[in-house]
Amino acid sequence: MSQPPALGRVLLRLWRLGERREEIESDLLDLFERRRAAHGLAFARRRYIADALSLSRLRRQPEVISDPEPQRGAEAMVHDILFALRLFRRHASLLMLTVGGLAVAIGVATSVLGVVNAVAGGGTGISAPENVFRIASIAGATDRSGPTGRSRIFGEWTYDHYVRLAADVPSMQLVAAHALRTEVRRTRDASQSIPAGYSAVSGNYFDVLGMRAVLGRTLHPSDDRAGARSLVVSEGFWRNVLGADRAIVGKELIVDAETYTIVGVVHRRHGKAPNMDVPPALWMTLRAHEEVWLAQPRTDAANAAPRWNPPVEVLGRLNAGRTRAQAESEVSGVAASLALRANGNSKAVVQFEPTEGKMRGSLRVVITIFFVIVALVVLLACANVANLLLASAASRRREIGTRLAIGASRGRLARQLMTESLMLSGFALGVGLLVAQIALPALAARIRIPSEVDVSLDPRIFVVVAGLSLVIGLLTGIAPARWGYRADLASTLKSDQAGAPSPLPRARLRSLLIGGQAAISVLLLVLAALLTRSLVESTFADVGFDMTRLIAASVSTRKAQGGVEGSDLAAMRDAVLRVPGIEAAGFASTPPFVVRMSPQPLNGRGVSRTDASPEYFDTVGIRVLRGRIYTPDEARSGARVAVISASLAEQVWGREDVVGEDMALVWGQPDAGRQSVGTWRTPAGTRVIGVVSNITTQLGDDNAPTIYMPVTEDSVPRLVVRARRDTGSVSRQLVDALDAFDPRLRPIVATPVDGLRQQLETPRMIAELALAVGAIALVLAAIGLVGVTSFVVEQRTHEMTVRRALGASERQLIELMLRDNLKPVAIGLTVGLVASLAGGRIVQGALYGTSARDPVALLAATIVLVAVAVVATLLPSRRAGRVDPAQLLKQG
Amino acid sequence: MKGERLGEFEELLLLAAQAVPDEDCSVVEIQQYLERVTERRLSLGAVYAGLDRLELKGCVRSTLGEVTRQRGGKRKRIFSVTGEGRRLARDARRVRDAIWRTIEGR
Repeated sequence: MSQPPALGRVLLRLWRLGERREEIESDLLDLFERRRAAHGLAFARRRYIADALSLSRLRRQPEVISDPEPQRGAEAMVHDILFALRLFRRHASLLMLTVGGLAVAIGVATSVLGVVNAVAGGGTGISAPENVFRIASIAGATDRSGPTGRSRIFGEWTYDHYVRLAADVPSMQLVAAHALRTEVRRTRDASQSIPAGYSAVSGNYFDVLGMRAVLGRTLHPSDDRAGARSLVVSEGFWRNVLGADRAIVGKELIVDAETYTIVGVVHRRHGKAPNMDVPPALWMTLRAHEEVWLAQPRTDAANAAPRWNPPVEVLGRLNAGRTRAQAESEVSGVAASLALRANGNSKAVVQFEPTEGKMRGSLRVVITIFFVIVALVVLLACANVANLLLASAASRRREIGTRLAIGASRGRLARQLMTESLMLSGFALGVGLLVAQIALPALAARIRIPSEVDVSLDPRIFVVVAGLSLVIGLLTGIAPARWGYRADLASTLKSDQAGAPSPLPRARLRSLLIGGQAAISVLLLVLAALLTRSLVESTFADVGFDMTRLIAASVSTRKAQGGVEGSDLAAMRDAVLRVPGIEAAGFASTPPFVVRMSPQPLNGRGVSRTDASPEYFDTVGIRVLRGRIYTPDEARSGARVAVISASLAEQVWGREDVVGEDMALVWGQPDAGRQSVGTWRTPAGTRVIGVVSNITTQLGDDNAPTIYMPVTEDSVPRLVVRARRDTGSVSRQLVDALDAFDPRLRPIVATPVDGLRQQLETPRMIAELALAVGAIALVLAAIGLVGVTSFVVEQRTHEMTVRRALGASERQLIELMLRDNLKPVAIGLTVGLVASLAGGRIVQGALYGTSARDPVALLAATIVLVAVAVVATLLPSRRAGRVDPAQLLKQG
Repeated sequence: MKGERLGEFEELLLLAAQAVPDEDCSVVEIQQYLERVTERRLSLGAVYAGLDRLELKGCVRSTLGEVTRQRGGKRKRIFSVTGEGRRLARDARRVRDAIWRTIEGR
């Protein structure tokens, strides 16, 4: 015999059926049997559940009118929910504003968390990372043979080094990775190519680091052989670019010009390379990379068979039972022998760096700011909900009194109020997640997250946000629920509109919430103002030279392996100067805002080195303050001379006039008795022959301490020209002139103005975001103020009527309301300003050209907040002034 | 208050309680009869609630019937219509008939 459905039986058990239970259950069973016989089991089961549901509100017996017996849990909950829904309908508009605000806050929080998680979350994905180290060679171990083997930055490992290390370091399993950007196409004839970062890795890379695939497999040592063209892609790239095709394994992808076969998709938590802000989209083996690189056509016959030896990042995992010290000494030994072979100097410094917990400073500042902003906005929205609930609880004194009078328990009342706030936060969670679904891709696009990063909502974030809204519901419910719990029967019933105005319940708590909102709003406004000001400052900053007429051209230096010859440079300069629009030209390795400097720390400040031709100074507009610039002859003959910026002179010697001083550029530690600058190796005893004016070379690096040295054959010089008027038309002429001079140069033209614009991208994005969030915060605070003031005005209507009857003018009444309601705002404003002064340290790192205690920003935020607060209070307050004294007479 | 008057559903219940044979006049039989006649789905809860109201108004009376074998030894409630119930049903019919006569006599 088949049973009635379990759901129906459970429902029946929930209802309060009293002594009729047995009778009703047997009736239902009877009906179930009949229906099953007539219409089949499915029908009978459906109807059984429907009938069971319909019995929920059945009274126990017709004779019993009411019962003091407490309702059973589930039933009471249904009643609570239905009651809350009816109540919400009554305050629909105010509620929509409040819950809408909370929903937007939750949506924004979810989106920001999503983006941050996608870009920076989850670590590197290396399993057991405490045993994995990035092996940094500080100096000495680099050799300088071969075109790609020539590391531009000293202290890089090359592939050859890795092979030696892997063979001679038994304590560790070593892996190598060489990262580049490239173009990817789906098919050979596809017109559109997608830029993507890729990493060429040793075959053991994934196995040693313990990175898993979500689809297919990762690369194995067996892929690292001649002729193999295996490729794995990141999960983000697979989702965003390859359309999450589950049959992708085995399909082909065109990288650059070569066809590869996709063998797997790397799990989103595992694809993050250490030391990279954005994880690569593709991985191939180093062997495949070598073959493809060697097969590329060479333009220069003399350069036909260069050796492939790219710079690589070397990571190692300690073998079981080996210590870090053992590994370090082994690696140092190999490095010393490499250095000895390369330059006759066995001094080599090797450093082990942990792979986890390395987040670039600026990125950490940005993320911290994001988190603070998001937390504050959510807090703000919560304050609104709490305030609304408190105010509505206060205006429901009579209802609550009545419920107490007819026997409701205090716990029951508290539960009712708690249910309401939990429902509100539940609504907000639903709407908020919808908002996030829309906002997340928009935000990712706005801040230009590369296509290979997966920004879809992570289930973990969903759990965090759902938990957050539960906490919000409980927290915002506590105050009204406590109030409901403590409600006093006599006073709640007595306090009527017509009675004496009783003190407002929890008026203090409400003031506190309003004050808190003002404080948070002003904090966010100050932040937005600071970031905006910083953006303006950096856009119009005085960089120490006129950048508007400068153009830099990078030229291919493959022509001669050691770089462009000095005589070639002079001829190139002459050719360029024949262009009518160009009035000056020079060469430098790092033109400002075009090439990113990597300053070396000295006395707490970064020092940059620029290899510059003598004409460079005049071309850019760097003035000679002391001494002179090196002559072309000195530059050609490799004289040990240098020109330094005034800021460097100040930093090292503490004075400007340092012409004739000796300086040594040495590795690592300063030499005794000599001032040492940076870690570049130059002949000892370099003499300072001139001091020049400071320039700013990149954002956040004002008056960069710089050492200028003659261009040598090791330099990678870029051509810098100054146009007579604007750079627009001259760029084309410059490229034409360079092409005519030597078609193999393939110049890439860039201007400092464009460079500055690019460097301003991130600050601009943060400032825009802060402004948007500041606006949201302001609107939330305004909603809160309007809501609370409305309730207060409603409650004090009687008092206002009496005052009006006693002769107060409309204006006086409005002033009274304004004064009372703005007091907490004023207190909150003060607290917020103090807090923003105190918390300035957090944001200082992201500010440029302005202090975190900038009075203009503080003043602007204050004015905006006060204006909005006055308007938000004034609107409902005007009703207080419009009371009719005749009403008092009518009431008696 | 509805008190002396009958709602539409109450009226149907009252009539059904008279139409179903006296000894079988249980909630289940009334429900089944009404579903058949009205061709409408009726939930058991609605039937119970309606009969409760009719009992309060004094239109029906209920007693627990004999133990029967079919229901696993459980007793069922048997309804009977009171004189007051019959009167109210007749009143309702008279009003309807009067209106129908007016409509059709036109």
